[in-house]
Amino acid sequence: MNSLVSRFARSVASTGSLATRPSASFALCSSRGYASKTAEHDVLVIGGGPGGYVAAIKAAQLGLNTACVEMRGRLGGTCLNVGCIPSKSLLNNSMRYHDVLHDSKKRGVIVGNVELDLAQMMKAKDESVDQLTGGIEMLFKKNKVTYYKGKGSFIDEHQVQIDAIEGGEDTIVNAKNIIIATGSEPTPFPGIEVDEKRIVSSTGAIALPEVPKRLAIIGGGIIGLEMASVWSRLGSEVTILEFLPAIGGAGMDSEVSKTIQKLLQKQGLKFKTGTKVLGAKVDGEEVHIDLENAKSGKQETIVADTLLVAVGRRPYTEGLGLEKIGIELDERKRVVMDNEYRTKFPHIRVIGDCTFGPMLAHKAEEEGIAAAEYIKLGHGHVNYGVIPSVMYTHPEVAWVGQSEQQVKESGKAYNVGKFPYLANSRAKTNLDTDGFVKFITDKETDRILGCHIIGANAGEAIAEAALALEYGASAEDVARTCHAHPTLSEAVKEAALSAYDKPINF
Amino acid sequence: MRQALILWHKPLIHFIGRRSWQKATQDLAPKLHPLDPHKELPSSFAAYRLKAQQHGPLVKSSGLPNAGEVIARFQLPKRFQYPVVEDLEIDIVNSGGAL
Repeated sequence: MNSLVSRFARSVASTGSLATRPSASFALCSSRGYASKTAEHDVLVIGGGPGGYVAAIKAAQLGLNTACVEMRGRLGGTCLNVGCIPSKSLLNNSMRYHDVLHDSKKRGVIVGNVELDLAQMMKAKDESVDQLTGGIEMLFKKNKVTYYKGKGSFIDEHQVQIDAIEGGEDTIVNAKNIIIATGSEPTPFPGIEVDEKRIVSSTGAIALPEVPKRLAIIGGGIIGLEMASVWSRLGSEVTILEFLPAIGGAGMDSEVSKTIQKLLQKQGLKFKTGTKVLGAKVDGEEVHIDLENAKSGKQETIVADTLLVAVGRRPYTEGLGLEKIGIELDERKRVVMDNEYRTKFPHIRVIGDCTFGPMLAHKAEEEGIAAAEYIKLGHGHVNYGVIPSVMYTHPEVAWVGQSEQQVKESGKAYNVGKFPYLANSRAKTNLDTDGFVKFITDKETDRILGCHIIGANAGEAIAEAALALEYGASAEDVARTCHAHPTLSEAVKEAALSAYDKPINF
Repeated sequence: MRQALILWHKPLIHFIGRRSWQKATQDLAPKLHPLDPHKELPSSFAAYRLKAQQHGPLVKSSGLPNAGEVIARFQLPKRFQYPVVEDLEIDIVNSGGAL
């Protein structure tokens, strides 16, 4: 016994010493506190968001002397600071409030006086954000990534000027390889000025000081619908204004889009699809929004206490000095790259929201890994056919691979397998049966082409479908995999079974 | 042993053996990214590479680590690898040493 414990102590000690021993390749690497006027690195990553910080850690793990510059003063980018993470905190906690208020009685739980403490809800959100952003700084230290707090801009194709913030020292970094990962920012709506008080962007929408009585949202995409869910649960009357005839944005299967719209309408959200926003102006404590029906041309004005503009995001490369060194942007201001993330300069690569593809944190992370591997190893991997998307409403919506419309357009013969959560035992016991799982498979080979889920925890369930797609699995492969009972994941198995045979429980 | 537990369904997924670092034949010619909506890259991409002498990608690499370099810990000699943790040891850790 004693010998085992002492052996364990030895193993911890030896692991610890391996983890903390400075390697020769990091000899030049100085911490932020010791940053001199000039520094040299194998890799400099500009931007510390999900793409940038992951690229920096991977490059360091591959033995490259790596640095990352971030101008926000906190790592994690939009996702951790003002995007995915704070919105998920609000979505989760607003859901609990709503459940206690409206859903507990039928479950046999009688609750007395229920009150909303919005300030505490915001505090809980901020604490989650602080812990996660602080965690990345720890990961940088653990992996020996030099962290520059400041704004980076190109001096020439190998030199980046870092204008320090928070009392740091301005530094000129010479880097053999540079990865641009500067992310994106909310797209402004022409003619509508965001003041982050009455008219807010997604950044303002996660930090409203009080629950607006009437909230209007321009844009029925994922950001708009998630914020609509939060504030509707907390008591706002929410109206969503969408120019297109359907909600959910590009990529969402149209059957899924129609179903989730009905479910959200049942929750009290109002939709004005096929509606063009002509303008909006603040009048005292109200916002007047002028609308036009895209089909009939009929005009109307609606009034809200707060207006959220959520019409999408655009690449952010301002102040980077790309024009100085001649790096091309396309017509949508995305940095042009080749198939190995290289710009015109082979040693300057670009990943994430500021270049082609969907603006998703996990897509940027994959590209960050691939870019670091290309630098060190000459090869990397991202399967753009298997990038999952999730909308964290309730029920959640998640999909991966092709939609039914895309498969139809390709002319390929296909099967559809669907299974409703209404027939799933765990969903029944949870009293949460909205939604379904839908597989689209190749009719000839049974290979899975896409999977679309509406339901509680769809964002977790889609990982199984993503793994199946990545491995090139058939619906039968999934259906013949034993799933624990009773779980929501059985709906995935049954939907797969439905794609090539018949479901058992429906 | 595991094969014997599977009755007759043969999954589409195949194991192709442990990954080995293939000698990459590096093609330095820039190619369109799969998500690039444009038909071709700007001409500056090819033009720059014709005249440039750079670090990194322009230096032809085999894709293999250089002599004396390793990519992952498992490639190091055994004395540098993490010690194998036995189940009993894990139990001791999990129980806070109160076995």
